[in-house]
Amino acid sequence: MLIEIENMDKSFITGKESFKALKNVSLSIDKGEIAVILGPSGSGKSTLLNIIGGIDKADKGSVIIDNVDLTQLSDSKLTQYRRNSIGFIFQFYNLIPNLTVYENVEVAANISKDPLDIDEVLHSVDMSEFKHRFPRELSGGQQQRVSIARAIVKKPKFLLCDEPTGALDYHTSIEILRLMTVIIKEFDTTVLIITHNTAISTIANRIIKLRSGEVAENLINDHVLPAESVVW
Amino acid sequence: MVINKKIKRTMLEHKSQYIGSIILIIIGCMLYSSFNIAMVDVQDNLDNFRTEHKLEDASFITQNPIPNLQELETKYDLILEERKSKDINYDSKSVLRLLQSTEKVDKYAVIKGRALQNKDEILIDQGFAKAHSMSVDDNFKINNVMFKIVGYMTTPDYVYPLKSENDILKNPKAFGVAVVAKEDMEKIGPALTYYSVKFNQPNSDEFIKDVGNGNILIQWINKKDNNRISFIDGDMKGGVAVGKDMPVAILILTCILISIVLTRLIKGEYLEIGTLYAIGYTKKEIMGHYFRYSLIMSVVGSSIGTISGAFLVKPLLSVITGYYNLPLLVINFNVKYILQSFLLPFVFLIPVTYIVISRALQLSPVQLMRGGIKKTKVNFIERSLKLDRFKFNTKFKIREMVRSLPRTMLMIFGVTFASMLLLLGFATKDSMDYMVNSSYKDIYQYNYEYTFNALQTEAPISGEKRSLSTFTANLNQKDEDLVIFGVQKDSKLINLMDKSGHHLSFDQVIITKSMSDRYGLKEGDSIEVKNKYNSKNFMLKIDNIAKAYTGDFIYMPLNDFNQFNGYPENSYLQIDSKEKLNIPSEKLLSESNRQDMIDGYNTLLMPMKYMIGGIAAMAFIIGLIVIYVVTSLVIEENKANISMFKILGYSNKEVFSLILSSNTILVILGFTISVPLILVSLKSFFDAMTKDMNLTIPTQLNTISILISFVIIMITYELSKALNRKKVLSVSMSDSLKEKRD
Repeated sequence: MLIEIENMDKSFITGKESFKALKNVSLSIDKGEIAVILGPSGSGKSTLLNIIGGIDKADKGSVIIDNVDLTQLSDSKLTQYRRNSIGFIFQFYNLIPNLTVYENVEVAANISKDPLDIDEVLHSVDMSEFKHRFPRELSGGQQQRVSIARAIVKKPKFLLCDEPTGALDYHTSIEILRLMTVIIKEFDTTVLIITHNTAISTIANRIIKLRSGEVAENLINDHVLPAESVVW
Repeated sequence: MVINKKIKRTMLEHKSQYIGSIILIIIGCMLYSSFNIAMVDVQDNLDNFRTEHKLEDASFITQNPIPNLQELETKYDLILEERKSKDINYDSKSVLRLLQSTEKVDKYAVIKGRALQNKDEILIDQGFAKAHSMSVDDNFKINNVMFKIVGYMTTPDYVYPLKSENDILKNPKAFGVAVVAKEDMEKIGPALTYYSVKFNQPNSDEFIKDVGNGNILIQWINKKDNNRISFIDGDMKGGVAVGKDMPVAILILTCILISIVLTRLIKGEYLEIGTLYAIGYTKKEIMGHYFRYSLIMSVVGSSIGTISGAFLVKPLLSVITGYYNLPLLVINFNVKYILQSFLLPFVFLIPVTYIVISRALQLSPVQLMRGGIKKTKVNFIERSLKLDRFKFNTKFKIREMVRSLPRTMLMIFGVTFASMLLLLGFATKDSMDYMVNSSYKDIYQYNYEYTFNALQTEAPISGEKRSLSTFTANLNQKDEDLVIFGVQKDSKLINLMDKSGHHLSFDQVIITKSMSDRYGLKEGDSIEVKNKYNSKNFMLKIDNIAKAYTGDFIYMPLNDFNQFNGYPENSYLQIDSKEKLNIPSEKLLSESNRQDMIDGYNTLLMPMKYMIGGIAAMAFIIGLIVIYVVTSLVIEENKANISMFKILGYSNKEVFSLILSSNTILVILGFTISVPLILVSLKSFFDAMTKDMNLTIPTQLNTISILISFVIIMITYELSKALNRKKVLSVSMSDSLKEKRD
């Protein structure tokens, strides 16, 4: 198992109130899998993604990623973990507006020990011809392609995607999902996608459903469909 | 309006930006009110003092006493008074000049104590008294007569107590003046007789001619050529310039800062503004709301600034009256300047605020609710930058700089201004150092200068002969007074250099750089000069210009000088000597010691060091505010990026380097610009200040001063970065996850 979470809790304190975002979560994901975490708003999807991504820490339980328990890591070790092992793709792309496409990918390559060639990565996401453009000169789909390029240029072990098609129209979303599946194979990465769009789960090997901070279902999908077949 | 309740909360949320702006307004208003009120007070008091105590228009010395004073007064409608002065050695290192109390011209004013009433009473100048621990009611002996100090005084012709009217630096440890009654003066022994005149008509030329008739005019000094009288006027000009120009520069800086802060505030509140529009608020009401931000800053800043400025007036006046020998000043809080100081920030900020708010409110409510018009075009600077060959960090920093040009301009302008302030202190000291060194150490190689009260023809016992006389020449369409020295061709005790540093021999006509600058005279030019005392005319062709900054002087060979002026062959009026000579005091007009001047300068250095320290502290505060605010703006504008960097795995150190150090180049650029700017500004400042003085202050800035200033600015920058580190650390990684942006 590449990701193994056991009895994990996470709470947030808002004012005088304490809110339990994740309760006794246990799950595992294999290397090379595409896992989709489904759930409505407030179900704890983002919190789970943040903890796996080393952005946040669990209060209780263990989060073992590639044989390392993240709950035991210091802040600087977590930084190293994110630096070397994680690639993020966000709903709103989160590109740096005053950097060109090429430079936005370079942001990640810059801190990687052994990054991929930026031009090659841009070619693989079909953005080579736009490499001197700024994000504001691109469409949403194009920006998400750059975001994917930025995520994979570090050769991450995991790709964590937070609603990657949430801000895109249907056709662009399908195009992005297709690209992601191709890229994942090409670069041999394990992927965790969080979404509230159940249709996307058809491209996943594993489907984890969250409800009110608890794992409601953890299923293996034996009928994985190509991205082009996803409909909603 | 209920929305105004959020002003306080918003200001507290971004307190550094608002407090920084308020501090700048405070500094601006404080300088404006304190300097203007103080300078007006000094000027008013000085004018009154000069009028009431009858400042002379000129003083002069004749070979023989003038018998017909009354007749001359009536004939030329002027006030003329015979005066006596005697230099006595107070101790081995200091000379006290006793002046006979006058009745008509240059009347003394009592600063402390009382006027002369009885015999054997003396009034003394405050600076000398302090330097020699003398107090009112103390007694001291002069030529076996015991005098009682009954007070401190000043006279209009010794406001700046210099031993010689050509000196530039006072030294209260070595020289002071005192006033005694006429009868007491006579008791002390023979004294120098001279005359002070105050004209009521423009008839000085006729008067001079008449005085020289059957008598020999040895010396004539107009008040404008007398540094004891005219120096304060130059300094006043400097003070007025500081009071006018500096606050304006600070307020311009504040305007840029506030316009950026407000623009950012409004942009961040587009959604709220749109919503307010949508629910029926008018443009006027919304504008009124945002106007309140700059109004609050202006009211708070100008009130505190003006009040603290008013409190500063008294200490400032004490410094001025302590430096100059001035009568006690009446403090008038000039309402005009208090009002101007209070209103000045509004004058600057209201138009700027109006422009900033109006531009934002041009958008429709729908556009505002959508967060403004989506910018799709890339500015041409960003577009034209070719950064491929640079490392990522460099590219990021360069792009960060060009992204917000107003912010970049504020940073450069702020650092330039703070650096100029800092360099101002250093450059002033370096320039004074240079002037004093070149005048007293490099040029004059003698230690003692003796001036006789009549032309001498016998060969001197020791030293070198020199002669001098005052001349008039038509320069720049005006009759100007200047001094010509006749110097021995083989003089070793006066060392003049040309601009390349080559020694100049005295077989030619040489003018000082000061004179060349003031009248635009060049090598090869000819000027016609007229001896003020005997009306002899002759032409002089300028052969060379010497690097000498004090005095509008011409040097020429002594033999030619005597011949052209019709003076006896080999005659002279001065002796320069390395050693002290034993010349009877009754033969002398004056005696000066070069070391006294150097000591005088060294005593001046201490207050100058305080001044440099004070200016440096102000520069540090202004620099810190600007750099801190700009850096915090960079952090706020980059919150999402910082968050993203953290998510991507950048360490804190790497994020600090990318975000906080993005302004390093601007700080260096701002500082670099400030160096030539301060040299140019200081040159015009010195020129304006010394316009009516017979000296030029050469603008100098030593490398070590530049280095120290640079280090101070970099410390300011590093400190503001350190203060902002917490802000960078507090940016959460989840900010980026929730961020929606283009």
